[in-house]
Amino acid sequence: MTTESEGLDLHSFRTDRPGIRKVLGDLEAEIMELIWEHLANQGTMVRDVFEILYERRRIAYTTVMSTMSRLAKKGLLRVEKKDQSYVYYPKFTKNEFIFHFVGHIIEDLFISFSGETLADTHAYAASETTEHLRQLLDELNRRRDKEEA
Amino acid sequence: MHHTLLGFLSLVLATFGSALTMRMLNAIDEWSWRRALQLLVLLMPPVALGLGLSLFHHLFHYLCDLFSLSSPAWLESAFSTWLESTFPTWLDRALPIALGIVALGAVCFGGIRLILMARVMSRSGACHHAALERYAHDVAQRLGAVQPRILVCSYDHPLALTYGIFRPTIVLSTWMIEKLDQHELEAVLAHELEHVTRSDYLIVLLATVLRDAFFYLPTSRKAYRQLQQEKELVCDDLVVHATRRPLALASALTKVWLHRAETPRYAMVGGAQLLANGSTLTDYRIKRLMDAPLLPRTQPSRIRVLGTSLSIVLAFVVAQAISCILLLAVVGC
Repeated sequence: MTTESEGLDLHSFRTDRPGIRKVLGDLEAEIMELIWEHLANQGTMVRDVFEILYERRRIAYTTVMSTMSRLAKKGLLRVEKKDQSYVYYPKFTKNEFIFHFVGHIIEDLFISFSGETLADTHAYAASETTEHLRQLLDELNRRRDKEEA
Repeated sequence: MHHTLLGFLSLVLATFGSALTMRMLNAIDEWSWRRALQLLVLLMPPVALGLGLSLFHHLFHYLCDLFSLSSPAWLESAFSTWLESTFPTWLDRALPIALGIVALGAVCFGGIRLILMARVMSRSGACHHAALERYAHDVAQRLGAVQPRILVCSYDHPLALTYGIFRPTIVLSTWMIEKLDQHELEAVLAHELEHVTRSDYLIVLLATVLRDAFFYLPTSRKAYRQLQQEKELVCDDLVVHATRRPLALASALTKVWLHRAETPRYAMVGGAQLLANGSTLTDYRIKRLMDAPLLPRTQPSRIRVLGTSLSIVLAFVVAQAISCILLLAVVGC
């Protein structure tokens, strides 16, 4: 399944993986989480990421560098050249990224299986609404009884 | 071609004036004031066409003749050449005829809708309901409203509406009588009676014809949508003040919505739209009623409403006169 929107270029979706690992590799996801959690506000250089990751596990500098440039190619990071080094910036917050990839996977599902998927989704939405309305009616009845009492 | 051009300019001016009025609406909270301006937006296109084509066009032609005024010959000929080369000649006849047919169609459609409604109701075996009529009589007296006819039609889905011209008629379905408790039913009836008090049945009829006649203008569609939605909110507020039971109306709305959710075929034909049109609006109305504080009923200043409406109309007439003068200056008296 391919997702291409807002400059995002994600080519695989693995249902058995948790969170953003459904669309990113392990190292890619680890780097992005690191950037979102610690380094989102300032630009990040490969060395910053490498130093943090190296403490967790022995990893080659070039592996981090190539993974970060792949993330830039996929549209998750923006890269700027400052002096003699490359500085990376996240293009989206974590929530924005999740919103985009989830939204487009659903859209893709609808395009691929519009008939059955839409019918099921409508049925699900209708049952959700009915349940919500029953609860609302119960609450209204409770409040009305209290008011009358 | 002059008439077509003037008509087109009038519509452009009306759209511009309507868009400005719609922007003004964002800063206005009072319901009556908003309704007056929404109606003004809907009335602007026919008024613009009427003023431009019937009044100003002939008036300025007469003044031109009286004072022997004429536009420069080179300007007139240059404009005529541009006009002939840019627009096909058939447009001169086709455009006014098309607009006329649409407007006439809208008026006929409005009439047909009203006649059909009356016929459907007379054939549906709708009958009077003594208890409801007594309650309606009391509420109508309290509100100072016209005593409407109350009919109950045998229909197994929610239905509550007001129609008519000279004598408004409130129609409720048997579903409403059977499924709603006494307070809910009274709240629904009070809601419909408020529509009668505000003459919503006439205003909606006029607004629908105007919307259909100028359906191609986005401002007309937007003003109509706002008018339709806001009349429900106003009547909800008025019911809260009249019955002091906002939760009863909220409960009635929830039951109607629940029925619609449980009966998809019914929801698809839009049968419940009259009491609860659109789930987003219904949801909003229920939440409003659940949080409704019983505020004192305020009446907007009539002078303010009248003043603002007159200022807009005056500005619009002046703009229309200027556009007409400019056009005549270019195309020649």
